[in-house]
Amino acid sequence: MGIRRLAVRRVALKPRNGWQRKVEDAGLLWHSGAQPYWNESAFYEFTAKDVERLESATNELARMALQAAQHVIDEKLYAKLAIPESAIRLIEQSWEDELPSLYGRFDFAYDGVNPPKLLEYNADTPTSLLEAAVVQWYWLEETAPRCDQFNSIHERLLAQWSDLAPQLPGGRIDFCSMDDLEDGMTVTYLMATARQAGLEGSIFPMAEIGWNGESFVGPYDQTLGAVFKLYPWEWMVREEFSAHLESSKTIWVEPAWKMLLSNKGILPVLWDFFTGHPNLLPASFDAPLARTWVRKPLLGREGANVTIRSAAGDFSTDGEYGAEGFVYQDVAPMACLGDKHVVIGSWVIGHEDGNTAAGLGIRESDTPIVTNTSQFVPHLLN
Amino acid sequence: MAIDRRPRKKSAQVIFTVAAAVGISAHAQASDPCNAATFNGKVCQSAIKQKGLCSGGAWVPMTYSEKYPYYYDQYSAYLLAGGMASPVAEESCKQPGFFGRLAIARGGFGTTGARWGSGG
Repeated sequence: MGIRRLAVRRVALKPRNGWQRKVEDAGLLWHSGAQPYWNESAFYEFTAKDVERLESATNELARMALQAAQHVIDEKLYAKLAIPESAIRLIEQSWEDELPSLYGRFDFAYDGVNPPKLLEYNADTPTSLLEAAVVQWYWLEETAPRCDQFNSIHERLLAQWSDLAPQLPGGRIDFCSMDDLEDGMTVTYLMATARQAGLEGSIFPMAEIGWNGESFVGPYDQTLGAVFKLYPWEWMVREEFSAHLESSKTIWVEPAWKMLLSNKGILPVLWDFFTGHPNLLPASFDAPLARTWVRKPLLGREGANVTIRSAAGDFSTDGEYGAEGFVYQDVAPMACLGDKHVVIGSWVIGHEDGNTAAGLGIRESDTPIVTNTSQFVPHLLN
Repeated sequence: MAIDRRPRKKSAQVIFTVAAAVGISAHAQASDPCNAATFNGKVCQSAIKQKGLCSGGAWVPMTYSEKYPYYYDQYSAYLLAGGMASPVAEESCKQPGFFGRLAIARGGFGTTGARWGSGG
């Protein structure tokens, strides 16, 4: 009888000489803050069995998420998700038109023993893409070239852009984000993948999108046929130009229906619809279902305004979210390796049934809540 | 990989210069869709953008000193404090020609993100 693996392994490793320059060359310019964001002083080691479980959970949850979205639409659960009335027709129209989706990221708690448990679905504006798709791959090639990595993100992005191309007017898509380094790098990388797939495009800040009375236009007044926006729908539908979203012909990637899935309210919807599913945690809109729980804002981002109640007491993060309400989720059996809390980001590209899982990115934190200051740590398969 | 940013163009938010010169004093009776007690998000956004709204079948010029998120936040705070809202109804009417489109408006997206990061 073999020895049973008890957990995913975290292995300490000496960082490469000049790692800062190497990750910058791969495009990651925001690798260090108060502490390194990119942390290659360790890596996570998975087995093929681990990857099979994560891949299977991802593919299944991608399918379940689409069913949950249909359920929200059918049952008109918009108020539960604090979705404004003015956005409902936009969501339903984008759903009926099957407007294209590019990507998303499920965040899992996974300890190598219990099934992966869904913490949340970053369906609209997931980041940490470049480091997952490119930077950790280069790290693997240099550090452990005989090992493998669950990572076909780059190749899958190229394929997905090729699939989307016929729907994009003139074979063109422009890219918008807030005018900051992290978001700028993400859209720059995505534009590079789109160009490799043969599409045209440019990048400019969201605030430079214009409205000429008939169409959304770019910085040079050109009509925007299709826009990839790294900017949350829940913000767009509350801003001034939302009044033009219905009448405009611009195709937005991600589409408006992703608003349903990026909302934390999808967690109790999924639980109600698939109660007892091994990859879901019990979740509710109104009150905790257990003595220990996690409370998350419906429209929260990057771990802000989250509270964990455990036997050891409460732990909370600050922030400005929560005005629209909260959901409660049972506490997951998190992987705690040493003093590190680990969240596994599982990327989905496209929505081909049963074949969306594209790779992993690992974030770790000294606290039980992974936030925008948590570190990205590479992984390999052994 | 370097960031491929085009030079930023100066924001062209200030539009409808003719309309902006027109006061609202003669139309003070129109219900304000941006007021918390009569808030209607769609009509409010349109009123800010168009600098006016249709009320009682006629076009009423209005000016607003703040962007839409300010009024939305006021409305949210009003509801959280237990206030009851009776939203202004959306109406349609013919807008006088000189209130029409004169230029491209910008800055209608990105205001929320200017306060917070947008990734997840």
